[in-house]
Amino acid sequence: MTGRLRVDRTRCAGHGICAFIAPGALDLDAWGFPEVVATELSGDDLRRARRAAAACPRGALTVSDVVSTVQPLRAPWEP
Amino acid sequence: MTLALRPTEIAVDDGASPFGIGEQGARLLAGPIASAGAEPLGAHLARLGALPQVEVRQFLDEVAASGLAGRGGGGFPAARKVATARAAAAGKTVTVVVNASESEPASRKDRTLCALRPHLVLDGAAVAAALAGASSVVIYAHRGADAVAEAFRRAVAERRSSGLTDPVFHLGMGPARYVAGEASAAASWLAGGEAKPRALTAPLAAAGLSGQPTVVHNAETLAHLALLARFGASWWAAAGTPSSPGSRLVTVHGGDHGATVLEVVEPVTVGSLLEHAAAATATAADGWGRPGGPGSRGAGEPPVRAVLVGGYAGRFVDGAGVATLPCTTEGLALVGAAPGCGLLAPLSADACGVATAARLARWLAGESAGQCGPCLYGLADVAEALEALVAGTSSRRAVRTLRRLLGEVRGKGACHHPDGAVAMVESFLDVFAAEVDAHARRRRCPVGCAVPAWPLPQPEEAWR
Ligand SMILES: Cc1cc2nc3c(=O)[nH]c(=O)nc-3n(C[C@H](O)[C@H](O)[C@H](O)COP(=O)(O)O)c2cc1C
Ligand code: SF4
Ligand code: SF4
Repeated sequence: MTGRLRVDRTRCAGHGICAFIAPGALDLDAWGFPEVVATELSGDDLRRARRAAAACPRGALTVSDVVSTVQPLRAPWEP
Repeated sequence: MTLALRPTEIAVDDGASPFGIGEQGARLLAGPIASAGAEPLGAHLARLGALPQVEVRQFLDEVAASGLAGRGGGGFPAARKVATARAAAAGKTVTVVVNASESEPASRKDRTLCALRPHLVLDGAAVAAALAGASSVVIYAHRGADAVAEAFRRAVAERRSSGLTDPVFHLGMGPARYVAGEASAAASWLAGGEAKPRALTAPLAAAGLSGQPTVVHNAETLAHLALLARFGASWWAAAGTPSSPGSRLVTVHGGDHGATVLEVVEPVTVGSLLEHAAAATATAADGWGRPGGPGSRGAGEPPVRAVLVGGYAGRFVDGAGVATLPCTTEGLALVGAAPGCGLLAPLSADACGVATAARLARWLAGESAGQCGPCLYGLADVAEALEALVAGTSSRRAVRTLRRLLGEVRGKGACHHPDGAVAMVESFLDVFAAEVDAHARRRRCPVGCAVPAWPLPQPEEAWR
């Protein structure tokens, strides 16, 4: 079972709790905001990522199941 | 070679301005002179004919074949957006948004087009609505853009009373802020929220306004669509170049001289556009720019040190090469630039690139929607580093740190606002390497840190 972690940067307030809970999935940037370092997670990292998502006070983290290997739709505003 | 340019700031009656197949005259701006104001519906239809009934599938192929790319900055293929919306339309309410916000402070092309040819834009919106399966269109502009609002109000009233079969047109005047012009910010505002960009998980064209398919197009893109529907892809794509087809509106910012909007129909160099704009603003009672000769900018004018291409979040290119630099997507790509919103802002050699970049960076930092940490804090740090250069308190080491910082901000926003700002500053560091070094070593600024008269509007407070 693998999962994917995503940060909604418009919600994140930069408390940084998440990166301490899930160090294998997230890192903090120069300003203390989380960056996803590993998108496809499994095992312990996935469990920690779920815990981080639950702990995030802003609901900025989502973990979704990777159901297939199909490439995500490219959004039209992406170059 | 006929330079198919048309200065619009000047009253010019160039006769009939024939508009036909193969005619290499102006296209979007063909028709009555600029001082005549908005072209009325009757004149518009007499000149171009009625909008033909388009057969959706066939016309979608036609749009795809034309290669029309968005003129709002991103250059995304127009055919894909409407097709996405159409595919997602079942059981949904599709909306077409005319992005007439033109939030780039120095750009004038959209408001010029909307004020002079509102029916061309509305025709295009009607075509987009037919393609996407939308029954309503929202024209989205910034509060304070009175000329644009007025032109559309009148144009829509004319269409209603003439009984044209049109989608329902609405006018939405949103907050006058830079990022409010971004597509997801527009959709958010139209759905009753703040005009701030949203972190999207699906394209707006599939699930935008309150989850409904939303096709956001720049006003110029839609005007092109209106011509495509009438004259077909092969006529349309005869302008421009094979890899960046169609004509394109550009704004040449002239500092104190104001701005000139030109429609570029044939591939021309950036240098010749600057000359035409300078000539158009300086002289030419007949309104057609007369270049003063190769390489000249008019007697006594300092040479161009650099040109900011594509918007404030575009890229600086070295002035030394502009005489031979084609103002096309491929040509600009050679120097790492892109047409973006069509802005060309020349910086003359008597102005300071360092102080200019610092100002632009500070302004762009202030325009962050303040939602994403790296955008909010990162852009402010970038501006501060540039201001230290201007103040003479920087160092070569600090410049290296700035380069690293730029790398940390890139791609870290929910929208492309920080990416554009980073690209502008990076291009500045490259093009103005010598000046940056001189400032970093705390030498005196050779031009006294004079800055050009580029507009940096105070953003409106409200986000709704
Ligand atoms: C910060 C920011 C500001 C923008 N402002 C505008 C704008 O004022 N007008 C516009 O047409 N597009 C603007 N855009 C681009 C839009 O997001 C969108 O790509 C465009 O309206 C789509 O139209 P097009 O496909 O016809 O180019 C902006 C983008 C960003 C990132
Ligand atoms: S816990 Fe939530 S709000 Fe805090 S830094 Fe992590 S994602 Fe951002
Ligand atoms: S990147 Fe900046 S402008 Fe874009 S949504 Fe985030 S905070 Fe707003």
